[in-house]
Amino acid sequence: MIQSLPKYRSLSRLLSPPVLTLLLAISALCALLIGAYSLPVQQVGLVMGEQLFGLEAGLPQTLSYLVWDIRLPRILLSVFVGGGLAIAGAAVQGLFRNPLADPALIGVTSGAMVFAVAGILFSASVLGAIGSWLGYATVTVMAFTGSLLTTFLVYWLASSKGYTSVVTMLLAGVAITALGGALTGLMTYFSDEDELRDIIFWTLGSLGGANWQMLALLIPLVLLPAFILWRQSSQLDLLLLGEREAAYTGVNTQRTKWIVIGCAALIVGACVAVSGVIAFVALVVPHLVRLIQGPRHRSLLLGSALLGGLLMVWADTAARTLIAPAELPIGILTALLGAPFFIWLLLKTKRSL
Amino acid sequence: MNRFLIHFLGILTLGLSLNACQNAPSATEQATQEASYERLVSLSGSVTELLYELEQGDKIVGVDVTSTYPAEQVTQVPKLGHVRQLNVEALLSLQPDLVLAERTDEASAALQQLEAAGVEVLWLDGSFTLDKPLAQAEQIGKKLGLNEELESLRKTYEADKARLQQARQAMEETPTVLFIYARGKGSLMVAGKNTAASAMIELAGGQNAVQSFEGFRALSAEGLMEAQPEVLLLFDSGLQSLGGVEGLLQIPGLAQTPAGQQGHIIGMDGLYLLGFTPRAARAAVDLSERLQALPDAYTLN
Repeated sequence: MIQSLPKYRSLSRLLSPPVLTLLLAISALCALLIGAYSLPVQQVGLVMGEQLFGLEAGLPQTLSYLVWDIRLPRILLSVFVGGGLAIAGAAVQGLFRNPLADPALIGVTSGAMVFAVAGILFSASVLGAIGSWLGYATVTVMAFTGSLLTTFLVYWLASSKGYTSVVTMLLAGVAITALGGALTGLMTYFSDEDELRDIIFWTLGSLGGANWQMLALLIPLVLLPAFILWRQSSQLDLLLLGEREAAYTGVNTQRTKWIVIGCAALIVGACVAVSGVIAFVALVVPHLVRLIQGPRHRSLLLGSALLGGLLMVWADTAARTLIAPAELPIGILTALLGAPFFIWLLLKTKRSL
Repeated sequence: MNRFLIHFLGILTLGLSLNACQNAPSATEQATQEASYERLVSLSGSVTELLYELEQGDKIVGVDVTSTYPAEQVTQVPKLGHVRQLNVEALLSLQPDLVLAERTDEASAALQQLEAAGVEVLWLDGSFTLDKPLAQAEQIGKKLGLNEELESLRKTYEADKARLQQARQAMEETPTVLFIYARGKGSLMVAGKNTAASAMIELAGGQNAVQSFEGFRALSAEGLMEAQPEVLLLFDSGLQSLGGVEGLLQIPGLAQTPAGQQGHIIGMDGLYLLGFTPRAARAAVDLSERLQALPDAYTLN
């Protein structure tokens, strides 16, 4: 897998960053036009004109709200969540030199889950004042806090005397994930009907709650760490040779580990907090890009971010239209598409090796 | 590339301005329409039922997943899923002019988006009392300007309440009833104080077997022995999920309770029994009568 497979060379050119960017922009535009509420193209255009250039189109409030405050934030959210999850996945896979590594494995997701479920259960009672002040953002804030705390717990468990063992981190992540699962299960067991519904819906993932405030918080929390990750590209490349070898070539491996884990935790924590659990994007997308473009992180990270956003835009468009007027949880959709694709990918690479 | 972009933008702005001219009149027409409520969305099973009782059924354009009664009519209406997992855009596409929701769902982000989109939401206050359906009916009636319908609903309901009074007077003793909320064998909860189940049991002239805690808790064999219920009350669907009466009695501890030994097990429809719908008084009469006729309610074999 180290070298790009020759037969994908043409694909590689086809899916280069500029092309992917263009595809992403086109997809976002298409998604803006598709929805359960059938709107003619020109109406969508008018709303955009109204909001961006201050045109006076005199559209009903519902229409402009629908396009500008419901559809558009949701599409942007899917771009950033998809892209964020995928770039974090690519970086973590590089750091662990393990294609199975997924940000979920370092405890981010399970920590977010434990705290989110606690937020759902106790927002009214124990959290009291804080809960009522945060309102329905309680779960989001709790999930983000939980993901960061767990990641640092895992990191701390794997570190001693200024050295962090990547293998120990993976094992600690597995243990913490199991613990998180148990805690979540315990709380689920004691939840009542409504709480159980909320918990289940949260674990299935949804981008339904998208709004501009959410985006204003999420975008910096994804873009900044993503940029920092991207700047670590050459260090991640050298780490592929092995940790000691990378250190001999002058990479400060400890610093790289810290940066990659911290940034991945920030990104995934923020994404999970706003959208719930969305499976397989962080695992599958980097694989796909690695297969097409090879393992160089500069293009891998960028390609993953773009492709992740692209796929998520379409997944969410499907989630909100397939069974309208109801809504399909997006986590189910990504797992449903991601798992078979991943198996296909495994079989394909097995044959070509 | 640049020239292409300029052409593209040019065409785009031309298209937009043309359409602006076409669309402006229709938009103002929509705005001048007066506010009468012709397209209703109900996000609660008991509210849906109220709307049908108030003869507003033909105005309902969408309901949530808990709206199951009246079955024949409500299956014709688009289902919007669960109130906590709403597709706001799809809901808007039904073009409702009034959305009716329970006050308890007020924190829902989706419903807040709906209000922000300019859709009017009527928040209905709920409680676990016999007065709830009437109070909600009054809220709805006031909003939609229904007087006769409200009056006739009130009459029927008062008659039901009178029947409940009679049924309760006819009761000789106060059986202790345990409500079990079952979602299959692995998930059994019992209702404590301050629950809809406990309220309904007391309305029907029984006593909730659990007095030691509030809300729902997982059922345990020892807790069952301690509660010593004389009657077990379940949803029909819950009883089914356990494999009927036989399956229920295989649960450790259940067969040892007085209820289990005598086969005093009552199954009722969930929305009917605990929805505090306009049928609430009737449901209480029903439960009360079944509590009196116990040995025949469900017998073993």
